[in-house]
Amino acid sequence: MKYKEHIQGLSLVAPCLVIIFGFIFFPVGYSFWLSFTNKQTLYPDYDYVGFGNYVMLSGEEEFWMSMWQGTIFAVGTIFFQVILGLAAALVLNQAFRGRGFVRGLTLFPYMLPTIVTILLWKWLLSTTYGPINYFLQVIGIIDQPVVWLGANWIMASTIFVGVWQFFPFVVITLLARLQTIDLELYEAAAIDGANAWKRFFFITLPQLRFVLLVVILLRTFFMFTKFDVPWLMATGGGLQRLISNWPVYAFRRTFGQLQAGEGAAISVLLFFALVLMTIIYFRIYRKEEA
Amino acid sequence: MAKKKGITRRDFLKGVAGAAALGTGATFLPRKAHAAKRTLRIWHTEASAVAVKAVQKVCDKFEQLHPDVKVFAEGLGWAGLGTKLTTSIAAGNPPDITHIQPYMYRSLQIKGELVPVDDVYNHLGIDNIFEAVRDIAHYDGKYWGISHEVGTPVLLIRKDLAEKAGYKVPKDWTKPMFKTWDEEIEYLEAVTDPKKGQWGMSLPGTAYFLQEHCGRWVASNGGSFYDEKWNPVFDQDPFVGVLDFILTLSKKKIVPPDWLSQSWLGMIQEICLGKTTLIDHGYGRIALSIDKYAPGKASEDYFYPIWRPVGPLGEKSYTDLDAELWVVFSKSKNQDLAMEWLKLFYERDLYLNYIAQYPVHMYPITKSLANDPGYKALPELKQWKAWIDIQAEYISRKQALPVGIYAPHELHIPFVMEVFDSGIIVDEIVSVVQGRRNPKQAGQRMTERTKELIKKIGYPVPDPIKAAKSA
Repeated sequence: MKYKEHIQGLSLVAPCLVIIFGFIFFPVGYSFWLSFTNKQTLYPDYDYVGFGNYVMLSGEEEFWMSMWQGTIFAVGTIFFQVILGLAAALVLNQAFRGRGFVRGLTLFPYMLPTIVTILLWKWLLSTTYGPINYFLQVIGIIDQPVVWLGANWIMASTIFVGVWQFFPFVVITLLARLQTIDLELYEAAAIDGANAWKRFFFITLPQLRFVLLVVILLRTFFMFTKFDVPWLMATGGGLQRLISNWPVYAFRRTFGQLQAGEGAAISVLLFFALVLMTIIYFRIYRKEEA
Repeated sequence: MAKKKGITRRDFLKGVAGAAALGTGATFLPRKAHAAKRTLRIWHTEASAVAVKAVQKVCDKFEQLHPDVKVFAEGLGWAGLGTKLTTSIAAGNPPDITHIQPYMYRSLQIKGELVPVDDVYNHLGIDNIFEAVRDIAHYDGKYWGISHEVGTPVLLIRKDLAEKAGYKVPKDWTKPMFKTWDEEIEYLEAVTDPKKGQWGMSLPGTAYFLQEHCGRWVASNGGSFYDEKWNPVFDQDPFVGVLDFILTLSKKKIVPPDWLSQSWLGMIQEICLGKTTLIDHGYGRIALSIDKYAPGKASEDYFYPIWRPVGPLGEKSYTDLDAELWVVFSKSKNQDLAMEWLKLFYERDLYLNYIAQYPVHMYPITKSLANDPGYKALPELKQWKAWIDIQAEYISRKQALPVGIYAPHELHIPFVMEVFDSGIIVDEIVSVVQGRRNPKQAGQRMTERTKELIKKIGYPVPDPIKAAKSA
């Protein structure tokens, strides 16, 4: 009877296991394996090279540059997404006329396909015919157009676009939590004479703490693995080198230089970097919880 | 009790189960019960609506002639096609027919990905094909691809803006307006006016097109990308001179300051809107964009081709030969159909209809069509006469080489594709523009990185993995 139950149970979870193995463990495992080979994208055969790809990457200027640029992009976008998202969530949690409409509008950037977002901002930021430069010149803030999409500003512009597109995610999540905070806490604080800042720092922020940690964790995954924004901002052009994070660099290695083994090694390193960050995060989370 | 009307949950579930059973059962039916159609997949780089329609017309005709065949044709931009092609080849599932650039053919041929298309050449008549494109993919006694058209990018100037600045644009385009790069720079400085938002010349920042520019310039400066022994020579004077030229354009601020992120279309819009006076990338297809972005100015009074200047180390100016190849993949199960489709593509009416979509850009590859009254009657040939004639002149003088190939010996080097698509060249151009490396240092680094890549691919041994295995 017990044996029959085991079989029955296993057969029920089997489809799920097959999917998990086929779509998660196999590709990840295969990437690990490829990273130890000299697999070229278009050749079926390859040889085992041990840690050769990792050693080679560690001595390469482009690799370290992409790591540095990926970190700046991810940290920059996460920081501003959280600040802007928190501010917007606080405003949208207040009662005012047209709140529903403004809430919908705030989510708009998140609903746009990335390609549309990038084309829109590349046009807005263009030096030659971009409305932003025109407006800044008209109101006298600048004399000459700022080269937002040139070598000096491309990283800042990419971070800006990343923040604009993804801060609504932070807004939705924080707003959901804000709406569940017990209003009596605020009333009691007000009676005790706490001003708005104090209420924010001593009630709102502690109540949001755990949600914020989860949001930051998720955004960390999303922004470190983000491919489309940095890729499309430079459209495979000259400035790609200046906003090339690890996913972009892995792509260039795999499909540009056709070195699939090296591309896999970059992906594996990114995987471990994110695992490490997650461990650190959960340590902080547990400490906070205790 | 009255019987319930409508569909009950039980009825619904029965229906779903029945449909599922029928669907599953159908998969066990003999093959003949299915639509027994063979499918032919075609990718091409003529992605505009008019060109897509022209290709579709060939496909429709093919389906009429072969009722058991369904043809799927897909138009993709170059950037999209390259990646999609690489991925599909890596996955072992390329299309039956696709466009590739001539610089890609040897790399794919040596990997065993292509089959010869001699059958198509024989059908068209080898002597009927213009020499300039006929032998591009001729290797080991076989033809590995066939061009769909031929054209060259010209140096295109906004005649009205140049004349406004006091420069005379020669009517006889064989007489160069600027003989040297220095003269060109002098002109660009004179017409640049940042306050008016007008720049001397626009360049595309897209890696693919920027490399095309570098290639034209290095060939016009007496050099190429590789020497005859296949060694990369980016560290030698002709290429270092090109990097120096780019640095000068950037430093003197005679190109738009955001040029490194400029797209091909953005560059065209700039010349159409008069934001720039010159482009080095005047492909004939731009004639259609002029109609769109500069209505009322679609004539040679405003847009005029000029002869390219020569670099300080060069003797003749060079341009690219735009002549993408149709190739058939060895993994295709429909090679017979692919050959038949290609033969149909060059059939007089269909080919004329295709060429007529971009007559300024696409010159026919067959002498028979080039001499055909129907082709000669195309109105654009008169409207943009100088633009068409200058292309023919570069081709007849043999001063045009296929995109990505900057000396005849480079045509059959089997790793040009990998290097061209690697990003190495553009990486180092950016380092020069940014001032992180001087042209000489960048040229050296480009050469070292390219050598490393070539070594990884396994050259100079022709096929490293197979060679290693057979040893």
